Amino acid sequence: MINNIMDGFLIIISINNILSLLFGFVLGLVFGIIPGLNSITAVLLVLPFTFGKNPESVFIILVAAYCAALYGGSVPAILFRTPGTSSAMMTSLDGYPLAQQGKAGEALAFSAMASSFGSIFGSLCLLFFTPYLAEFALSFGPFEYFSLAIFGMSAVTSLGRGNQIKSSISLLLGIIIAFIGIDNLRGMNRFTFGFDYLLSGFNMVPVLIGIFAVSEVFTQSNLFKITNKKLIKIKTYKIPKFSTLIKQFFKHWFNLIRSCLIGVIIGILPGEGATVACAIAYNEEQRWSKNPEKFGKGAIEGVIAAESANNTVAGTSMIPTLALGIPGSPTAAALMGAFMIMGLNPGPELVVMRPTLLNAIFCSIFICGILILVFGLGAIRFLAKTLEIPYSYIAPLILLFSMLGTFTIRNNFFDVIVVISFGVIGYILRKNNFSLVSFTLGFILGPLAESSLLHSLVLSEGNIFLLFSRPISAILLCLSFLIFIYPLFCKFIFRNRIN
Amino acid sequence: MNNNDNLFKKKKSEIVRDIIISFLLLCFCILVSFGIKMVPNYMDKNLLSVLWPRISLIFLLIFTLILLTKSLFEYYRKILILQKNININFRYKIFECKPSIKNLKVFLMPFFFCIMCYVFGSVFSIPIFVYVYMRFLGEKNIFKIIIVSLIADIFFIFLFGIIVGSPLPKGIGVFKDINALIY
Repeated sequence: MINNIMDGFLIIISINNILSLLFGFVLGLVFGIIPGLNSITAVLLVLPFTFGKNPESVFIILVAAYCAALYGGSVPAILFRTPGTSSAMMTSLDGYPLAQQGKAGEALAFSAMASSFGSIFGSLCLLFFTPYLAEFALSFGPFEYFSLAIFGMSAVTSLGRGNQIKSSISLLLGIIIAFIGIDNLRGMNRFTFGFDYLLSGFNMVPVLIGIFAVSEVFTQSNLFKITNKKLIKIKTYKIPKFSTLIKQFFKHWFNLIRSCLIGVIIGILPGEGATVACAIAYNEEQRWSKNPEKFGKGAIEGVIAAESANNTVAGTSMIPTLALGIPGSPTAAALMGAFMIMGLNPGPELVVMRPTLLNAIFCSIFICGILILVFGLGAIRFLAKTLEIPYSYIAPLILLFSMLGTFTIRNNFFDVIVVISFGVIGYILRKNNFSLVSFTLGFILGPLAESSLLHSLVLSEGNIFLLFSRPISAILLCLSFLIFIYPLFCKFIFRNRIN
Repeated sequence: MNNNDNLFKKKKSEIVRDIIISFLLLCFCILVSFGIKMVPNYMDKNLLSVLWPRISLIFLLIFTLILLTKSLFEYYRKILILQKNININFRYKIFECKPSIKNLKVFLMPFFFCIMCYVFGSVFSIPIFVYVYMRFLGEKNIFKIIIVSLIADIFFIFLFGIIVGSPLPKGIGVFKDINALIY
């Protein structure tokens, strides 16, 4: 294990990789701070620049952007009650009242420390758990992979927020769109309707950029009609002494550990990421607190719980992504796109055959944890100035990045059209409360489920019930069923009680 | 109009949108079913290529019908009763859920950018796109817009054309020659 850690640090310690890490970190921080931009947008906009580069360097940039954006969202959440990312929503509940009480510096400092702790905790979990999970997953056959894909889909439709039916519809839409093109197993054209451009199907990067980045710009552009005003005017604040902060911070050690463990569990589950982890950690802290009435009025425990869980997810959501090939969060799904661009297939083989990549990702998250502390206590006030840029300046630049970046992938205008079209589809889905995460998971897991199912059918000579004869597969399928019906069951019970 | 009315309108608009989306999804299901029939081995006994799409389609159809039924039920049970109870006297307007012309501009502009890039190349299209998009978003200071457009042009040409070395669209005819002179 120590060898792996040393190996990871040796990869990072080169001018090129240190600069890559800093670039990714600052980019992620800026994207996290600006409301409407988030970690997925940061990762997706960097993706087109990664062609032909060493995978380790690429993932150092992407993972740094991911971690920094998760933290960056807390800055406007605390200062202005405007979460930079959706996961910072819970931070704003107590961070903003603290800022109003003149404790903005304290809230920012605790947020940075909790995020830093969470990142380091998450990175250690990633390093310790991934190889074991990957080793275990090596024994998986097509039966288990099919069940795992079904479990991932079931989890994302049930554990997510909002309407389960709409979430399932989004998932199925994603699956059906993933079918377009030539069937890998039998070489048949599917859903191409005679268009040659559709023969190779939709590339993952344009679809993800369209669904997340472009649709976000469309949504924000429609909300943001008059843009002569600056987004937010920066106030001044002071950060207390470091030694005092450390003493106060570690008084909340139980809260920290509990929130990080919640981050670990939610991060490992497919689909939902930091937002759900923050909400659960915050609620748990409130439930365990001696003064629950303080929450929402400026309880520092709330900020610590939300931020530590938030950043733990950065590391732990990479565990299923790397070990099983099932993304643990929407941003991890975008990172899977990066793996595929580089011709790498995330899964147990990747961890076993290419351990340096895992070590590089671990070290990148670990160092980001330290950078969050340094930046959070020192330089964040300067980066928060980015909030003064009006959205009318940012929107066209993001669209240009998305369109030109996608064009450079294959020098093909069709990809640009795909980006914009999926931007419009994403906007419609977003507006009508359909889950974009479910859509993405369907798009990624649909082909995996199909190929595994077909292989299983070939192996079992058409006997589908063999899926239940293998223990792991049977357990996963039963869990999928239970997870799917649990919210419906709860709803039914709740309605009966009301009646 | 008070808060109740606004909430009511919002809820109604959401339900109507769900009904419209359900119908669109049903059309999508029909399109996909045609797509399944067009797969070459559709009539084959060994239906491996269409098995999973067919399963997905059946589930999509089921969920869409559930959504449609639920939305219609909600519309008739909640909206019509509420409308009576809180005495709101307005006719159902489909335009509540129709995007305004301003919104359409925001969606259409990127498509025009593609056409502009194909014809004029990136050097000319980028500043035009930034200028028009900023105007759409309400920016009024022309001087600032021109400066941002030019900076964006230089930045993207420098970033993609020179640093990354990826060929950007160069346009056609005389524009191709002009673009080729720059990157």
